[in-house]
Amino acid sequence: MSIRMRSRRGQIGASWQGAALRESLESVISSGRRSSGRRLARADRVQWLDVAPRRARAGVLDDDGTIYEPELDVSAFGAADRQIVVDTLRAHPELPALLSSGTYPRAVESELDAHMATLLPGSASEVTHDCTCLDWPGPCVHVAALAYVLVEAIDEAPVHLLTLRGLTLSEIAQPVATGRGARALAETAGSSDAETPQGASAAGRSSDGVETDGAPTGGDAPGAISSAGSPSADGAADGSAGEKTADEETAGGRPASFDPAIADPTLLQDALGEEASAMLASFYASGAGSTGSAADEAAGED
Amino acid sequence: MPLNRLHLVVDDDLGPALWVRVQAEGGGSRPAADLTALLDEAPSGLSDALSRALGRHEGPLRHRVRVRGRTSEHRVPALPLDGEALLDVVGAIGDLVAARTGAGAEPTGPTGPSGPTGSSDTGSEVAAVIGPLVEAGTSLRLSDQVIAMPDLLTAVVLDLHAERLVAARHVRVRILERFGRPWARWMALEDDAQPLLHSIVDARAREAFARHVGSRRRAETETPEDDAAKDPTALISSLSAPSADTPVRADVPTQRRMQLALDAFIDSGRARVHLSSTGSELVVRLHEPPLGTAWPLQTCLRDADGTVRPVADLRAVGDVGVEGAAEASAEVMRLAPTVREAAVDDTGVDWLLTTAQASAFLAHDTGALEAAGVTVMLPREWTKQKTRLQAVVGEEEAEQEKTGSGVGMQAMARFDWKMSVGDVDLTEDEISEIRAAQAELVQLRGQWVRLDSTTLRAAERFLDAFTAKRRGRGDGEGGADGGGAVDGARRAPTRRPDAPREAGRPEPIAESAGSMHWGEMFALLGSAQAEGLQVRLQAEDAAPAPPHAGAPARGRSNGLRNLVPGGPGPLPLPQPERLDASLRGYQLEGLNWMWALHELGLGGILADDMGLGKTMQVLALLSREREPDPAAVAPEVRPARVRPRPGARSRTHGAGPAPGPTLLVCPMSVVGSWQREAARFAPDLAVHVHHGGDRIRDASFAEGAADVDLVITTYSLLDRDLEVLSQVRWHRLVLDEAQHVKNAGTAVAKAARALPAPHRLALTGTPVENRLSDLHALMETVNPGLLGSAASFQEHLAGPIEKDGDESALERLRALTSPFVLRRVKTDPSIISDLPAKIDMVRTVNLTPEQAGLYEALVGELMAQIDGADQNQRRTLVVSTLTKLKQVCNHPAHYLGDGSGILRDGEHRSGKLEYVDDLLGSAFADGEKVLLFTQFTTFGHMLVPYWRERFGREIPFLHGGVKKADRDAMVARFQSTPGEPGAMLLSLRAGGTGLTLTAANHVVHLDRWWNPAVENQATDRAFRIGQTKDVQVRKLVAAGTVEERIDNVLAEKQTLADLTITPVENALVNMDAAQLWGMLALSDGDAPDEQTPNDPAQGGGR
Repeated sequence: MSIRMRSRRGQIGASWQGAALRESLESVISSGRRSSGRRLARADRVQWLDVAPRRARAGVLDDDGTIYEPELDVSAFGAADRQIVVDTLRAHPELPALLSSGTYPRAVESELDAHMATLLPGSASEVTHDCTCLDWPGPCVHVAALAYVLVEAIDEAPVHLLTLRGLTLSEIAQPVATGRGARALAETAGSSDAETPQGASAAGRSSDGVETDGAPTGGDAPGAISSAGSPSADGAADGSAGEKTADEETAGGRPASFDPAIADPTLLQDALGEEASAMLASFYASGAGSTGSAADEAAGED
Repeated sequence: MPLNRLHLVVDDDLGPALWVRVQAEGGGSRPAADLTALLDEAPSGLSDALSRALGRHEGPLRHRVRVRGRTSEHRVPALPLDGEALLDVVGAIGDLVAARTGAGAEPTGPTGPSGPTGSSDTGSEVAAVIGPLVEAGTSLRLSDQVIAMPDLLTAVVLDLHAERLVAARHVRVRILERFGRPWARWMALEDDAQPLLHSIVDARAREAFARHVGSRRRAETETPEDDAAKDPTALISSLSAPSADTPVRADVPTQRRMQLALDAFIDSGRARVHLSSTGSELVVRLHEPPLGTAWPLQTCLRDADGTVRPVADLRAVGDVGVEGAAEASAEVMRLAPTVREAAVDDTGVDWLLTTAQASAFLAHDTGALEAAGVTVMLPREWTKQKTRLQAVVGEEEAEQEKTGSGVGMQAMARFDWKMSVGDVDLTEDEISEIRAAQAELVQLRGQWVRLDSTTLRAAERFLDAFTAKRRGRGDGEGGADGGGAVDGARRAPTRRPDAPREAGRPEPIAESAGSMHWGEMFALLGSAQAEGLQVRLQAEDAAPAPPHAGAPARGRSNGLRNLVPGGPGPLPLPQPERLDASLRGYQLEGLNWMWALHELGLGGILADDMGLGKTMQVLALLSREREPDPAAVAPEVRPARVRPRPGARSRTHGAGPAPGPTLLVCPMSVVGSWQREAARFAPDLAVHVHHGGDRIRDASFAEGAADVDLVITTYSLLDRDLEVLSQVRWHRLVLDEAQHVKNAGTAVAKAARALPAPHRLALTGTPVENRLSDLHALMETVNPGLLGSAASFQEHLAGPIEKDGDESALERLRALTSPFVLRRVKTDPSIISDLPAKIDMVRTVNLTPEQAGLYEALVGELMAQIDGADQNQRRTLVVSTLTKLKQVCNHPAHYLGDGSGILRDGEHRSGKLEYVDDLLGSAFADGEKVLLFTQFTTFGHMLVPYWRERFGREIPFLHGGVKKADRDAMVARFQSTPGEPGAMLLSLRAGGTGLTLTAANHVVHLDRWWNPAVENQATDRAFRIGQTKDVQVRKLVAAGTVEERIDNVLAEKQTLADLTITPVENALVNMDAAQLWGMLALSDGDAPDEQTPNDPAQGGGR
């Protein structure tokens, strides 16, 4: 399981945002480390890439057989900058879908630029690095390899740019309201329930397994790129729940009530292993809602 | 004594921590740096709890937490509380509160970490007391020196809440990183809950989970080593340790996977959330523009019960998150390039397309979306509207006069092409607009219409070809024809059919009107250039002609245009006087139609149903052309250009100029019938039968033939005596039962095509017996070249119709053949009002146990053998087994061939025969006659002696081995005694066609030929002109057998009318073993009742 680079020669970074990110990251890496890092990346030595809020990490198999874990940390926006960025991005309702489909419009970046802001981590002052290897002070070849893999990930999933900046799609999406846009128009037309499916499509959407902007769903996901960019994992993963904005809490709406009795324990098996998933499943199953469990716990107490 | 105010905060780094503000004597206050002094002053329960918590942090407090003061942030010394200590302290406070306020029982003292804090009764009372205090921000004095501040009191309330949450398992697991190490903690389900609640939930859940783990493990008596091995990531340890100090052993990707699984598990327990961008079926829905030309396109998801919901709405109520919504929308953009360019509306997941984009979306993107499993929903009325070309056909008489161009196929006709979409005929402007837009969506008369691009392009292509062909002729007729205005300059450049055009400027339509030879038009219609074209030819003068004879028909001639649908039809002429019969209306029409074709020098297929009198119509035709002036009643309409046919010559016989002789070819069985009918209805005709060993085969034949009007011969002689026959200058060739030439490759068919005759007619009740190639072969015989070569016909017309049910090809075939095929069906009430009813019944008859046993054995044998057989062996096996099965269904002795009796011990061995005996008995009793058809001559031979004995009656058996004279005698005898009981047995092949046996009013098909056309033909022996009674037709099938199943299949196929019917045997041969078994196996439900008193001996046998 390792990440396969699409680029085999020449410059890495097919999209404009990827190329821009590569240029700024390369600017702090010495040329020797750059080429070694490129070699490692292209030799599929990067085992995994993890993009979390303000931090990207990777596992890089070095020539010495050790997997080192380099990381790139991106500094947070100041409160004022953050507000400007959020406001600017929110003015583009299409942006979440565009980012999800792999497009980061230059025009949006230009608008940010007008406010002296950018989504692309630019200078050495904005990006710091670290690695578990002993090559200090770096940036080491592992950081370089991470940088290149990250660039390709940004090509495909510019939504990572948000994550690296500590932002989420929810934050840059407009607060929702019903009865607007196409929906409202369609209802005006009164044709919303007069339609016919064109052709049958019994199968659900085909999952191509390369949705690098979502986290991999199993060990076999190609690319092995994981992400902590979802809003649920975000604050907690950072250990700083206090950073959550009010927007984030309201944007998602209230989830439905939870009933442990209907939760599907088979979902746990692959990732957690037999024992842990069985233990958790039986724990949830023994909640106060189910009668059989009270006896279980009572037995445990004596 | 100083006053101690106890605070509880949750620090970002330390988690929950207790700190104390000490009120000094002088009124100032400071944070306590050491809590030792407090231990003495606090009430006992709290004191104990604090000392346990402090036990790990002796001496001055070493930790500092950030506390927001009135003006600034301070860092104050604090005591971090791990899970255990937190519950300890909060529990103690709760108890004190209960005691102070008198709620519940008296203080219970310190509550250990292993026990729940108080009973729920106490809890609710404590909550009732503290709740208002917390809300009011009031503190509570626990003792003289100790005050619990609101933040600490809040913890007591939260603890009660946490207790309920944990008991109900409303908790989730989060894998977090802290100081570079992953660890797992419990949290309340709501992410935005107070941090303190998460901490208390974590502590309480750890307790509960540890107990749970303990009880499970103890029950399984395992060692700690085993546990560790089973918990390689240490998740269980991390979640059950009293404090969050046991890390998870997992690298970053593993942590993410674990987190995803845990989140998915929780989500699966949320009753309402069934939708996700990846798990639900994606749907895109296009709406018509409510105003202007902005087409809303919505991203939707289909939930489990099939309801389609817009993602924007789902997001609004929180069923889909921003990521899910964005992902769904992104998927649409990935699959639909057009959408990427479109304007997004303010929901961020839906679009507003321009008309051009909507067109492009329909044309190019829907395929990819559907291939990827995305449903595309369109307004219901948006079925693709097909483009159709319709030619209004006018005759070019003036030009013909001028150029002397020919008649029939060589005649020029003028074609005015009209294009229509759906039901709307387009104006020239609209056509230009549509062609200019090159879009799938056009607005036609205020309605948005989705064009079917295939038929639109086909229409354009055809018009281009039409123009090119006309120009290719280079006959400079521009001025002469009415289409001159569009002729010439506006020549459409050749291009690929789907090549994009310059937008905005409509390209001139190739040519919408012009003249062309009929022959060229028909060639064009049958060619590749007409592929996909929906076309109709319509005659210009749509006024219906008065149908009755003798009506004035001024200004009209028998042009081919008349025979085109909607045309006036053939010239109405009176019934020939020399015919000794009164023609029915439709027969006169058929006569006029043949007459018109005759004048045009074209052949035709008269495909009337059996019994409608095709023979009579042909005899009438021969009579008419021997009248002094065949069109005497309306001489003024006789166009001068209609010249006597080349074969015509003067003759002394009769009054008028007599045409040459007609050669009639028919099956041997009906030669006699032709002879008799000619003698009876057209006694003036000189008829000669060319048949038998003593027929004339030398040169004298040609001389003799020239002196008669009608020569009758058979198909076998047509081939054998072709040389002799070819020496006669025939006026006409008539092929009766023309299905005999349906196989173009046979010697008979070749002979029929080779025989020279200017006018050619085919008579058949079944123009298409099995495949459309039958029709091609017939047409090739009567109108050579009309339908193109067999290969091209198969490729452009027959193939698409038979394989794909291509309607446009069927339409073109109709346009091509309709002037040359006349088919009337008996069931059409306007044709026949005086023919009695035909009652068609399928009689299902049970097998006897003996039959069933044989049947099952045969099927079992086949299934055993067919395993591993190659295709050829398979075919042989299946076909021979089918035959054997039919024989068994007829009678066991028929299959066994052992000469055993029809009855055994006076009992019937065959269900069918038992039924037939009854039927014969009652028919004879009523003085009625019965026709019985079988395809097995051997079976017939078994039946004749049996019935002779049973009914004391000789039942004639007409089969292939009976000489013609004997057949004629049989038929004559049968027909001569109407009203007397009787029956005739016929083999389907020998007796199925040509004969007239109207004396019978019962028809029984003993076994099935499985071709409805053939069976109906046989039935029509009785059900035809001359029949005076209702005819009862019974087709016998054995219950539960392949007979019954195939009959069901055929019942469906019958609705296909004249379209193809794949031979049943082929269908069976191509089945796999399971299907075959399903078709052949004797089904139990219909098996004979074993307890029938009829058959006690075999009652329990099977």
